[in-house]
Amino acid sequence: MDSIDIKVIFFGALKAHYGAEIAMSVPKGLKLRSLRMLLKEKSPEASYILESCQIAVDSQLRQDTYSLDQPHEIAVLPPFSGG
Amino acid sequence: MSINIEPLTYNEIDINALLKSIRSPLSGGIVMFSGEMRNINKGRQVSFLEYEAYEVMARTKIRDIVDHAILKWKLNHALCIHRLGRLEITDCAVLVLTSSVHRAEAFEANRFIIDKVKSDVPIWKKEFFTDGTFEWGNNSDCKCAVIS
Repeated sequence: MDSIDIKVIFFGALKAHYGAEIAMSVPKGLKLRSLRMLLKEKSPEASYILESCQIAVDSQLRQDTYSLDQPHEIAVLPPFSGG
Repeated sequence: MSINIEPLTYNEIDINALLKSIRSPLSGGIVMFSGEMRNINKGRQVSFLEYEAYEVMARTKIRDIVDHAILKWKLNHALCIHRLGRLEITDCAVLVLTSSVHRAEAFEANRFIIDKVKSDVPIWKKEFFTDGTFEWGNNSDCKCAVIS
């Protein structure tokens, strides 16, 4: 199966678990739902935060059904707390 | 129209300069909201805080929110700027200015902008307490007005 290289960047409390960013090679067509699962496997103690995160692909918020089909920048966004 | 400023800054927000920049002979009212850093949160004494953002997305979101408000309330001018990095007690964390012919539109639009910035813009607050601990903030418990 073809794979693609993605960069996943993290913010807020997630940085303590993953660092600021990681590079991953994932199967082409991987859905964000599955990426979320892979991240939980990498750091099970971050699961409770990941459940409440939104995910942006190339700066656009996407649903968990979105498929990754090319090299992307993925941002995992915990609940916001600006203002 | 929106004032052409960078919506994110690591420097102190110059409220007086920005207020001056939004003045217009067309406007009968300017509303200012300054979100300020207080020294206590949920009963705990805060020492300082840090803001971080997914900057590329936060810039676009803030600009979109301000542009939407200008159109919806027919504002003469509006701007929003948010601090990043370390803030001390009483620092301005976010400033929203709206100006319009009459005050009602400026008040409503201002409330809309700050509520949308808090709910929709990828910015995170890390509070450091005087006891040496820290905590990431969460706006999910804030009481934002619902204005569509």
